[in-house]
Amino acid sequence: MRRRWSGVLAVQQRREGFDAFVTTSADRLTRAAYLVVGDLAEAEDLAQEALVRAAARWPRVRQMANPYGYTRKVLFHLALEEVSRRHRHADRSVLLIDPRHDDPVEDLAASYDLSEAMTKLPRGQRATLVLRYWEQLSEAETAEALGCSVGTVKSQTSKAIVRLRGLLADPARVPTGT
Amino acid sequence: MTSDLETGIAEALARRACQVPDGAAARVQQAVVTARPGRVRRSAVVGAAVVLAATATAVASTQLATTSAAVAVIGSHPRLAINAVPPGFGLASTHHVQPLPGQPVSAGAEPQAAFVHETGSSQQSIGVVESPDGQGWVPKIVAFASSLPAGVTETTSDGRAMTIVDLATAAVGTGTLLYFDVSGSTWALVSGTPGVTVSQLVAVADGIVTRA
Repeated sequence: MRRRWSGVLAVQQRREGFDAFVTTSADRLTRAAYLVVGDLAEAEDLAQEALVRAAARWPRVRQMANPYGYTRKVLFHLALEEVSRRHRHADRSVLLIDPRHDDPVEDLAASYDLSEAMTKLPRGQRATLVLRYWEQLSEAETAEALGCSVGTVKSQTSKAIVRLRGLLADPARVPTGT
Repeated sequence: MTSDLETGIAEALARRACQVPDGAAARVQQAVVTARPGRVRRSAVVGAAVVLAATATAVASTQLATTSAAVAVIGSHPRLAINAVPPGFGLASTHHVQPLPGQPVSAGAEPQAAFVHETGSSQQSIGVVESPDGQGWVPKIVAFASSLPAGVTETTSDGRAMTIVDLATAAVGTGTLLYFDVSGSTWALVSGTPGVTVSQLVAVADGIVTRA
């Protein structure tokens, strides 16, 4: 499907309330994307892309009960696509890997191992954890955001926790499975 | 145990989220609100470059005679006048670009002006686009090209430094593009389909000037 620049311009004429929506949601969307992809530039790109897509459907999106939820769903779909693409082209995990520790004073003793362990999780489990424990969504809401069943969210969360426990107990013995 | 771990996960995520600088959201906000997609996803950059270079595959053209006056005026930061095109090329009245199979296209990936040259069943085209410094997708192309040293050469024409990217040599597509800093605050990018020579692209670039 062709996406036309002129189409984006046309959207400007009928996107009442969209600018305010961007103002209130851009920050959280960018941070959520960062937690999934672990790269700031990529996170900004993803947040922008999600908002541009919301703009293209804004007359409908603004009528929704939760426009932010819709845009977040788009964002996570894009983020998982991107992580999947990266995995296809480079066998490396990007989640939470940030060589620029801007706050060396921060006490990382407890969180470092956990953050490190989270990089070992499959992408689906990582996204689930971000939605469940950072966005504070319920299992049903997480399922809606990821476009999967509640059962899948439960199993993904359970597997993630089991795997994290294993990694924290003995990093050398990495449990397998997704 | 589980609740402790879950608490730890939440705290670790919250700490990591706080590492995102406030300016990040401002950049996203500015790019989206101004409706000029200033940040094109890197995956789309290749597509954008290839699509620009492949304009000829889908140009619906109406040839116009080239005159001594500006052939086309594009952009707004400031406006750029395109004063020269190679012999045989004419301004396309419309320049709808279709994505190539497997190549994503991002909004804003279309050229702001396109010139076509039809010879029999073949068609060559040249696309031109501008971006203000730090905005638009030209900076993305610049960053993208910097990662393709095999396909990048630097040149100077008429006192203007230009970077030429051979997409085929870089193994990311076909065609050639070049970009340069027009005014210290504005970038211009000129792309050509296969068959368009570097000298033809440079000729177009040489004829691009700022216009009040």
